[in-house]
Amino acid sequence: MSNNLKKPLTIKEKKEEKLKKIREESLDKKIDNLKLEETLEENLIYIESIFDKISDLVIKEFSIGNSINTVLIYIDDLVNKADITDNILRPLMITSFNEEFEDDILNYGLEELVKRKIINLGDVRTVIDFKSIVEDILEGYGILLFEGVNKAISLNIQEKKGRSVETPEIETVVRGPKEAFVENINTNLGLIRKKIKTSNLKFERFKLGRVSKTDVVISYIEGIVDHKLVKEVKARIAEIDIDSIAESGTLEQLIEDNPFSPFPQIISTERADRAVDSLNKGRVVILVDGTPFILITPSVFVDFLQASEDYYNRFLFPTAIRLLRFIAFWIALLAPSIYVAITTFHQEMIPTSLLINIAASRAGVPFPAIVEATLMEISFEALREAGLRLPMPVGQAVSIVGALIVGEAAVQAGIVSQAMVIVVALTGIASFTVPSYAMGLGVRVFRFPIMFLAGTWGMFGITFAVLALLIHLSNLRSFGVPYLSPLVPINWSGLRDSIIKVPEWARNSRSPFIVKRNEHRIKFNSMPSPEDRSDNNEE
Amino acid sequence: MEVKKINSRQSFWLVIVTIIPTIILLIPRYLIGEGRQIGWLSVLVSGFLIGIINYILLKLSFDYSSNSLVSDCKEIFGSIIGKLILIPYVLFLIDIDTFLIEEGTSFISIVVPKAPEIGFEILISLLVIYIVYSGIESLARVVEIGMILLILSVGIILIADYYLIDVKLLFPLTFKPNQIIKASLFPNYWFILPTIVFLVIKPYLKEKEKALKAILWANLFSQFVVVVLIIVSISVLGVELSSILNFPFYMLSKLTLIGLEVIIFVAWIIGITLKISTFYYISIKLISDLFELNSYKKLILPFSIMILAVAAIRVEISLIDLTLKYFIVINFFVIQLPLTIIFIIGYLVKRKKGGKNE
Repeated sequence: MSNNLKKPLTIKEKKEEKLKKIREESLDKKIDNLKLEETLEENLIYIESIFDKISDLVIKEFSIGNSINTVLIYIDDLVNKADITDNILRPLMITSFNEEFEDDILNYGLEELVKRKIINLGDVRTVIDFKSIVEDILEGYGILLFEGVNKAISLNIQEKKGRSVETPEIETVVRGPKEAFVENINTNLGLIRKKIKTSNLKFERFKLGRVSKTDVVISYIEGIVDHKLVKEVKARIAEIDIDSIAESGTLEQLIEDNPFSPFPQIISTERADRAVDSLNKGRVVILVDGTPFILITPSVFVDFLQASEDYYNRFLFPTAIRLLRFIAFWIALLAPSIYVAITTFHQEMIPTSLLINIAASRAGVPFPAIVEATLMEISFEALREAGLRLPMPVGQAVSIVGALIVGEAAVQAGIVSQAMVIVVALTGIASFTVPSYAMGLGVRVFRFPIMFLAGTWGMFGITFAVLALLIHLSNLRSFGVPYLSPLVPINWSGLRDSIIKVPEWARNSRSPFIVKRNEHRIKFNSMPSPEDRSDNNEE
Repeated sequence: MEVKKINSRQSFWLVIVTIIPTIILLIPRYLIGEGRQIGWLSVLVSGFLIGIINYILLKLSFDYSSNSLVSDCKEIFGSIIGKLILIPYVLFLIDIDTFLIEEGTSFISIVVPKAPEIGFEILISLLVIYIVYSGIESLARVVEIGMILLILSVGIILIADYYLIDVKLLFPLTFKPNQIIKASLFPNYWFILPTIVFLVIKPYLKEKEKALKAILWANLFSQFVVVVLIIVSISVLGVELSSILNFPFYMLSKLTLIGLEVIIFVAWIIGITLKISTFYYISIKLISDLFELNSYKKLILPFSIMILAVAAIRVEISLIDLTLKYFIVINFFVIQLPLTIIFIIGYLVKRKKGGKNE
């Protein structure tokens, strides 16, 4: 009989049993609808079950006032320890021993009293459900729970880790700001905010990624931006249902107009001044937490041939440079193909003396021009890729060895001609002149099929490719804006800041193909006039 | 309700693309052959007269409605006759599509003689399919770029040939009305082409009044370009050589700078391809409207295969090339002009009866 008698449970066993029961119950409940209970123990059990097997979760139990059990919960690596000690624990413990504390609780309520009179932090708010608590803990907030209170206090004690603001690595300039975005989204928002001091600058925050819960912010200037554009950007982001967003490039691929095009339809930049300039032009800027590259929409073809520095120099030089980049774009795309077409089909187009030289240099080469060009271009692309992926000193060495030694050896061995080496080198230099890396990739992808067409159909093949390219570009849109704007359809006002750049005082309006209202940028007749000033001085 | 996509500037370039790319290749030898030194005057006569006819028809059509040509014809002539009237137009457009491919191919074959002609036809057809599939908006944009390139290339020829011009070759200017009228029969075929294009794309025009003005300006501009090129051609090559060369303007580009002809070649190939694309689009759109199809895009592939096959056979028949000048004139008098007059009468009668008027 005695064997049938149950042994009485210890306190620890009772607690574990209750914990097990609640855990089982919590599995059936959805966290979205789960509200805080008044019992601290029960709330803690829920939190422990949600954060099961998470070793960096800290639950610090302590008492305040007349033995009110209190708990501070946070994730160890995400919070600022000094904030916990100086701004939470110390004030709570010291103030709660005041004689007035109990009276204040009756007047304000415990949670309000702590928020208003005790905690020395700026970002403090009340939360009542477990969903908010879990999200805040994972963001690096601390959560204060009290016995007998079915509300919690969420405290922003995030540790600001990461790089400090540094100079841009990709988009370097000779003249202009040297601030580049960093991985921390809040720092990046600050960089924009300090250059646009208006309440019309809006930041709308979203969470993207079921697992990563990445912060995404869309920014625009109210009163300049077209509302339809903001709506469209939001709609495209809202449609995304993905597990994780690690970089803005992933987001770019999910919101662009034509995902099959080799050409980028959204600018990505690391420069704060370029983002600010784009906002001023009525564009929407998208920032993603964890990457220094932000996205600018809409972006058209000519934007990819522009650099921030163009706006900091007097207009003649940027105009010349932009034209050079435009020509370089076509050289990078077509130079090897034209060489192949001319040497294979249209020798009559080459002046006789040059033709003799080319023929002499190609005399020992056993391959047709198309094979020669393909070999050289593939080698060049391989060298470029190797130089890019290797550590800086090794990468440079590979590029130099590849360019100088292998190139020279290939010519001496009669594998390629000297003319071909010159053409490939010229193509390479031209491709580096295009400021946008993404646009450069598009050019590299297109170059090979055009070479093949040139090798089989001569100049007609190139014409075919150019026309196909034009049709493709005419079809493209970036958030509804034709990709070839303002060139086609022609927009005279937009042309002032396109392949050419007019003086700053003549750039009166924002691009009308992007901005539908508030086009005015600078007052008319703003051309500097020293004579007027001297008259004023005399007066 | 169709979306208004084409602005007046694009209308201007659409007229240019229907006239310039082929007229400057084919017509000079006929005009100079018939009109001699005064051959350029026949372009003005033809352009002016046909310009007036174009204006009357398009003005009446634009005032009547913003609907498609098929819809207008059904309202004016009744459901059955309205459709039947358009059948010759469809056949004419099919003919013009094959003719354009054939002409484009024969021009390319001169520059790239090593490659097979059927390859050119296939590549041109692929491009045309791509453009037509992209729709009227993309077509208008590419036409804008392509025609600017073409006009620039014409400018380059003129500048490059400036030092070769011998003004004496332009004389004697013998004014023979019969010769001028006879020579003006050739360009009629080209100058009347924009009418059919704009009757079909009328629903897509943003501002019809502005478009009409642009069409007239484009007609004048085309006359100017052709006249200047004929004068330069005569003054550089002389009457005899200009009237026997297949493509005298292309030859002009080869005379001065080595390598210059490639720019001209590229610009003209682009021009010809865009002209073919425009007429493909018009043909397919007209057929799909006629047979009340949901989308014209379903027709693109079968239509292209058919045109490609006909063009491939046509290239092989040298008789067509020999009788081309008669064919052009007959086409104008048997199909283009009668249909234009029928449409004008139809719109006028309906207007008097108090039909639609926007």
